[in-house]
Order: sequence, then C-alpha cells, then structure tokens
Amino acid sequence: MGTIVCATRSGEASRPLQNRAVQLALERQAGLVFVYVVAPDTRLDLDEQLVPAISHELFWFAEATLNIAKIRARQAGVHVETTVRRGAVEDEIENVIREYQAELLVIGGSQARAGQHFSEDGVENFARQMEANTGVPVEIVRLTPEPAA
Amino acid sequence: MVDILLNTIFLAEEEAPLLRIELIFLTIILIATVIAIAIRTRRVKLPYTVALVLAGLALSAMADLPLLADVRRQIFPALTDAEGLVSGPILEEFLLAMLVAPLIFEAALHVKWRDLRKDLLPILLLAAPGVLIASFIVGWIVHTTAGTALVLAITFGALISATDPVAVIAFFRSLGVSKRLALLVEGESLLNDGIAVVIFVIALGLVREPEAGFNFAEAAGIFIQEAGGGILVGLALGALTSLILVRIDDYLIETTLTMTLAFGAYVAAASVHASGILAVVAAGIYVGSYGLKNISPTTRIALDNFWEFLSFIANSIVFLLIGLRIELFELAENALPILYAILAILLSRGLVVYFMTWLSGKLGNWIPVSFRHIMFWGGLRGAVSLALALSLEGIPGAGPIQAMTFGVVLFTLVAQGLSIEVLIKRLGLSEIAKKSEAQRRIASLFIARAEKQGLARLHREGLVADILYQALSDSADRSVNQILAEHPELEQQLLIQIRREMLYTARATLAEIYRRNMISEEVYEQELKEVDHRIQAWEAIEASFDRNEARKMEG
Repeated sequence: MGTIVCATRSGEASRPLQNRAVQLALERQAGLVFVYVVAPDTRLDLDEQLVPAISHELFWFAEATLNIAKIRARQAGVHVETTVRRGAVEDEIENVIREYQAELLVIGGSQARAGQHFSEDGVENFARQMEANTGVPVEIVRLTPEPAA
Repeated sequence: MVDILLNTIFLAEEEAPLLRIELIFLTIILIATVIAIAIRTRRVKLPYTVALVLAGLALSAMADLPLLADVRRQIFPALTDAEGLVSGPILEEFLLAMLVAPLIFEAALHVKWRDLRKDLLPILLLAAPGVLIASFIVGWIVHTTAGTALVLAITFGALISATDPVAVIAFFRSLGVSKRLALLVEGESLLNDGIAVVIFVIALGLVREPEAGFNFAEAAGIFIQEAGGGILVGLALGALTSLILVRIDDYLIETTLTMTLAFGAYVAAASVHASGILAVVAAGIYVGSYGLKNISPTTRIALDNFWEFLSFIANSIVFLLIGLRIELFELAENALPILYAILAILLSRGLVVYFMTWLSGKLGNWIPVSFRHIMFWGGLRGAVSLALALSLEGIPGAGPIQAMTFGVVLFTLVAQGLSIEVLIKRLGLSEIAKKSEAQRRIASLFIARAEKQGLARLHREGLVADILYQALSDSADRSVNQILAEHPELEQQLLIQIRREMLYTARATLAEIYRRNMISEEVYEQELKEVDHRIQAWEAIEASFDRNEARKMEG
C-alpha cells in the first residue's frame, strides 16, 4: 500500500485540502500522512522570554489540528497517521516524504498564499522544487478560484 | 513656543492666582464632559471623537448666549477678559506640548521599526513630496478662488495639507482596519509634520518680510534644523532611555521614564528650534522597538494601562478643545472661502494619494486600491493644523485663514470622520466586522450546545418523553454539526478558545494547590510564570493568524 503525504495547517482553507487528500487516499487505496510543520515566523516581533512558550503552544495547536483531521479521515475509512515537525517547511516535508516513502504530496494553494513559505507566486515553484528533490509528484489543491488571466 | 508656555504658567502663579483655580475648574468640567460623552457614545452610534467635537461646539455656542456669557463673566472674570484658555498662543502651546506630544508618543510606541521599514517608501512619498505638492495645490486654488494673497495661501496650504496624527490615530484605532492599512495612514500622519512645518515657517517668513524673497539655501537649512534636528534629538533621547530601560526591571521607574521621554523630547527639540513633534515620533518609535522589547509582563501591563489612560484623557481634551475653539458665526461669515478650502484639500489629497501610491507600486511597494480610497478619505486634519493656524495671530489676513482652517478641520472630523466607517465596511476592510461575524457564529454554536444540555436536563427530570427527546436531541446535534460544517474556520477559533480556557483552568488549579500548601511559593511562582507566558503567547500567535488573514485580503 502506497502513502500519500498531505502538508496541512489550520484554518478555513485547510478543510478542502484535507478532504481532497482523503479522497485521493480512498481512490488509490493508499495510506495517508498529515504533516504540520511548525516553522519559526520571522515576521513576529517576539519578546524573547515568550519564545519557548510560543513554540510549545504552536506545537499543541498543530497536534490538536492534526488529531481533528485524523478523526475525520478515519471516519472516511482511511488508514491515517499524523506527524508534527519543527523547522524549515521545505526540509521537513522532504524528510517526511522520504521517511514514509510517499508516492504523492498534496499541498494547498490558498493556505500557501497565507503562509510565509507558500506565497501565491511561490507555490508552483515550491511544488517543482519538491518534485525535483524527491522525485515524488505534487498535487496542488486550488482552494480559491483561479485568478483571471 | 516653550518659552510662551512657561511664561504663561509663571504669570498664572505670580500675577493671576485666580486663573489657576479656573484652570483646575475648567479641567474638571472638561473631564466630566468627556466621561459623559464616553458613556453616551457607548449607546449612540457616533464616533467618540466626533461626539467630543460636537459637544465642544455646543458648549462654545452656549457660552455666547447672553445669559450664560453673563454667568461666565461673573464666575470667570479673568477668563472672560483674557479668553486665554481657548484661543491664542496658550491654546497652541497647551495643545502641542501637553496634549499632542504624549498622544503622538503613545502612538509611536506601538509602531515597530521592522513594520515601518517595510512600508517606508509609500509613507515617505506621501509625507515629504506629497505634502509639498499638496501645499502648493491648496495654496494655488485658495489664491485663485478666495482671492487670498499667494504666499499667505501657501502658508495655509502648508498648515492644512499634513494629515493630523492625533485625529487619524484616534479614528483608525476605533475602526479596526488591518495592521498594514493602519500603519500606512498613521505612519504618514506621524512623519508629515516635518515638511509641513518647514513650508509653513518659510511661507510665514515671506508673509512677514516679503522683501526678503525666497532663499533655497535658507529653506534647506530650516528643513535640516526642523526635521533633521527633531529626529536626531528624538533618537538620541530614545536611545539613552532605552539603555536605561533594558537594565532595570521596575514598572514604576520604567513607566515614569517613558513619560519623561515623551514630554522631554518635545521640550528639548523645541528649545533648539527643531520639530518637537518629529522628536517625539523618533523617540517613541525607538523606545517601542528596542527599549521595551524584553520587558517583564508586569511592566507591559503597567505601561499599557498608563498610556491608555493618559491618551484617553489627552485625546478627549484635544477634540473637546477643537470644538470649543471653533465658533459657528465665524464659520458662517467665511462660508465661501471655507467651501473653496474644503474642495482644495480634497482635490489635492486625491491627486497626491493616488499618484504617490501608484508611484510606490512602480517602485516595488504595491498598495491595494481599496487601501488608496481609505488613505484619501481618511486624511483627517486636527490639532496640529489648529495650533499652527492659532500661531498666525497678528498677521494681516490671518482671520479668514483661521476660519478656513477651523472649517476644514470640522469638515474632515465630522463629515469624513462619520462616513469613513461606512466606506471601510463597503470596501470589506473592517477587521472588527469580520471578528463580530465570527463571534456571532461562535455564539450560535454555544447556544445550540446549551439548548441540548437544557433538553437533556429536562429529559433526566422526566419532563420530556423519550421519543420527543430523541427527535429534539438529533435536531440539536444536527444544528451544532451544521454550524461547524458551514463555517470550518470556527474550528481554529474554537481550538484557540478551548486552549485559553485550559490555561486559565491550569492557572486556577495552581493557585488552589498552592493555597492548600501542596506546593512551595517558589514552585508556585515558577509554574505560574510559565502558564502566564503561555497565555501571553496566544496574543502573538493570534496576531500572526490575523496577519495571515489580512494578507489574504490584501492580495
């Protein structure tokens, strides 16, 4: 049985992404791994005293988010695992793909747009970079309508 | 300027002791009025600042009624004779040094250099060449339409073209727009006074001595002295204060230091004929970005509370005084020039905002079109324009210029101030509206959950038949799941709320086991600090989520 890796986060945009990953896992009869990367947000003007607490709480939040996704996927009949990673998004997703010997990576376009590493312009580049580095195809789930040409 | 203020205070102490009592009495009346308006505006849908201006206007109009004027003469003979409290140089100094300076400092404290740096290009384009261009456009229009002498009209252009930091910040804080839009509008208003004051000083010099003529080198010298000097004084004092702040951990000393810096920067810059306002801005941004970066949570709370209180009082008095100073009959007498002036400032503001933001985009810093509309309509004028206009006392032709200033200030505060909220909502830029909508959905969720609990209780007590309970319970379950299915974004907010509840419960539990002597004071304090840090951490995390949402919206 192959494995699909879905890089997800929280928020409105993540639900359609997770649903699509579940659908793909059912179609391919593959296992599903949800990964949430807690990346340091350099835009935050952080009080140094709070850095450990923020890191701790973000980890809690990531675990809670993935647990919710796991319950939904299990209810749909998918074999699912979750993993929370800390570090650079690109590196950590590559690591997960290799660890689980994934056959497909699923990422979201809109969620990406909101985040630091996945700007709207950068999501395609990110996908290409992942494909080049790991040899695994990447499916981008477009969560918002395509902009007019 | 500072000399006049000090002389006024000494004069009041030595020669007119009655004036001091009147000052105290007037201050108490002003504060009482402010509290009444603050309570009232919670019920009436009227921006607090607009309500204050209107209340000031009403008080001003009432003071001129024969009966009230007579009563005022009986009670305040010195005040009535001098009219020193609400007009002339005393008001100018009082406004700038005592009220505007702390307000600007408080606003600057919240502007982080790392955020400002990202949008420095459009802010500087609007604050420097933007104000220069607008001053000349306004001056030319007023000269052509109202027949004001060209140099005097440019003087008016200079004093009216810079958006007012106090008015802009007071409005935009209550409107709840995105952090970037607020920064663009507030940043411009904080930095544009430097160039405005320079044009004003040069033009005023030419009004006073027309034979002297315009001298570019002299103008550049004034600019360097006013703007450069102000920023330098502010940065130096800000850096010095920051050095002390990072070495101490005592919230009383730290709060006192920031207060001293706010007034000290203004006075120090003014004493070397540099811009006091720019000095306060520079000092505030420096200390807010570096001096207060690693302060303890206790100091943070104490500082926030102190500055929130001080700015509430100062802000309230500024707007009330603006209303008090504007006399309706004076506006009526100069209705036509005021109308021309309003058209001139709208036209110049529109040209400058749309051109400079377009230019900023071409230079690599794009600003969403919806933001540009708000930057145009949100360019409010207030205390600084009023203070500069009051400093024209004694200049031939100053009367109509002052009337035009009061008219424009009133127009921007009331007409633009009342309509900007509607525009922000129409353009979908209100963060408050979005949060309220999300909170309403959360409330629906809690109501649905509470209804089910109520139903279960009635069932347990035997008041609801099994079949009825089953049917209604299914329906209640469906509504909870329906709300979550329709609004998946609630999941994230619920998670955050649940986490906060968990942390508060942990805090209460810690206190409880400490009270029962199950843990030592040392352990209690250590654990409490950690839980408090986690609670505080959510402020930063939520701000980060909000920023992501705002970015989506801007895109």
